[in-house]
Amino acid sequence: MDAKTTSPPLLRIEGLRVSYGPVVALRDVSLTVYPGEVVAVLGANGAGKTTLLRTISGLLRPSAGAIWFAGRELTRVPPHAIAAAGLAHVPEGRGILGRMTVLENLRMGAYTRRDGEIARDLAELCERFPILHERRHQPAALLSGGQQQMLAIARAWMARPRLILLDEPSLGLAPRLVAEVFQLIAAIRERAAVLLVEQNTRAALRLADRGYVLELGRVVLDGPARALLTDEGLVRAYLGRRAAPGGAT
Amino acid sequence: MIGQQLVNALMLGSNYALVAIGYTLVFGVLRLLNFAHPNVCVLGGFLLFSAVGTLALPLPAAIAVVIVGGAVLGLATERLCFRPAEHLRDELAPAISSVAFALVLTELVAKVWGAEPRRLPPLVTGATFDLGLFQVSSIQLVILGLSFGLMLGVDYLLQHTRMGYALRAVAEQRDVAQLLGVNVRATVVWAFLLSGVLAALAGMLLAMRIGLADPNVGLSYGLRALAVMVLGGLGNVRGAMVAGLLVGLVDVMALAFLSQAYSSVAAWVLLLVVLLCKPSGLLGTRLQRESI
Repeated sequence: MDAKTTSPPLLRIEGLRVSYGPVVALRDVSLTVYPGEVVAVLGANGAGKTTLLRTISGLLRPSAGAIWFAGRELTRVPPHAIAAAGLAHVPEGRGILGRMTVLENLRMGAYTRRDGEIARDLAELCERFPILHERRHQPAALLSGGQQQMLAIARAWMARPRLILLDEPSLGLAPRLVAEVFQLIAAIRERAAVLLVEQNTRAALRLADRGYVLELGRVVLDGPARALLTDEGLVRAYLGRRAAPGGAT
Repeated sequence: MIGQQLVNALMLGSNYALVAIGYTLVFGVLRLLNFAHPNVCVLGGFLLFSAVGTLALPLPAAIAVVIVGGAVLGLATERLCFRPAEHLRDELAPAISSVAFALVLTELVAKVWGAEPRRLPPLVTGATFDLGLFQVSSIQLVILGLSFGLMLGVDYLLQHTRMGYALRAVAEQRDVAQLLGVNVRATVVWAFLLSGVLAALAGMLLAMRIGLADPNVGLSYGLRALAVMVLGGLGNVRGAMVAGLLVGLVDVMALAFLSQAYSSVAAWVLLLVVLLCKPSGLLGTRLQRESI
């Protein structure tokens, strides 16, 4: 185990159960994220990955189990208060506010903040993302898919969160942009922990410290990312035939 | 003559716009119509009547009374008609209970002030300004100043304040707004409060314009304002402003150059034509159509 896993966990989930009416989407899911970690959540469509993230950020109510974040129990706390506690969620489909401008989206990211450094953070992001700076007064809906993904992550960043939940950040992006998104996530980990849901299993595991594999709402496998990357069963199920242990694509 | 009609059109149009903005704010955050909205306008007129007439308050104090009354009615509408149905995910229940609340308010007005229009005392004494092309009386200047001041104020609030950002974010994507830290319930309450204040002030300005507090204006102005909201693009506040002024212009010009009968249908013809050509409304965009 890493040195960082010796500190108390930033996010701890125990025995989580979530149902949509009679359909159970998550059963007995337990998971931890330590400060500074990137943790990947893997699994097929319908395995419950998005449900897991939506439950952590408070949009869904669990029927059993508990969630602690930064030492505080969040199980029944409304989503806006969870966001204020330092958890940013970039939802599936990016959640861009298309009628608001790029700049307004970034400002919305800092909605929970009251400190005086918002302008400085905005300037820093504009430097990092020249394209967002250039198009800052346009409605965000006019950005391309890749630019919208950058905006969504940058907006989450504006909250100065302690943990960022990312739901399929590379979905629907051209390969070059996928690489860019993963570079961005690698940069985020300097300052916040990341819980990453990805279809792009191999790229996610290369970046992550640890990973969890969900199947039909249960955690069927978890461990250090390197071990998962070489796991025979996982390789067969998600990485496709061409994957050799640690091999390149 | 044309100049004079223009002044009338601006006063009538800004009135429509203010009522429509109130509808739009609530529709934006809830995707629901508040049918008690026009009744708050009517009450705004009667609150002015009582404040300047019965209580003999100066105009600024009377305006404060109207603002407080509108805020209370807006909050009451949310609490009584919309909040209890919050968990139902039902679109009919809150709308119907707002119809019920509208009936209660109608009866309340009839009980307290009677069913007949009441004449306001003279509110502003002062010169009439001759601007060459047209003349503007002091009261007209006050009405125009307040109306446009309110519209600019609402626009500023929506575009530049924290509450405005929250209102726009909730209107666009409720879940995303929550994830960004917006308290949706509090935002909905603010929308109702703002909507109630605007309705009462619009009713007050209407009463100032015609010199009467009239219990019968609710229906016609309520319907007109609905048309204005759709015309401007559902959920679009700037659209409601532009469309309100346009409908006011069409009304006044139809009355001046055609006849009373044409005046009452002209706005609806305009609505039909615009919707046929651009179903998302004047300022409605493609994005808007998708998000509704």
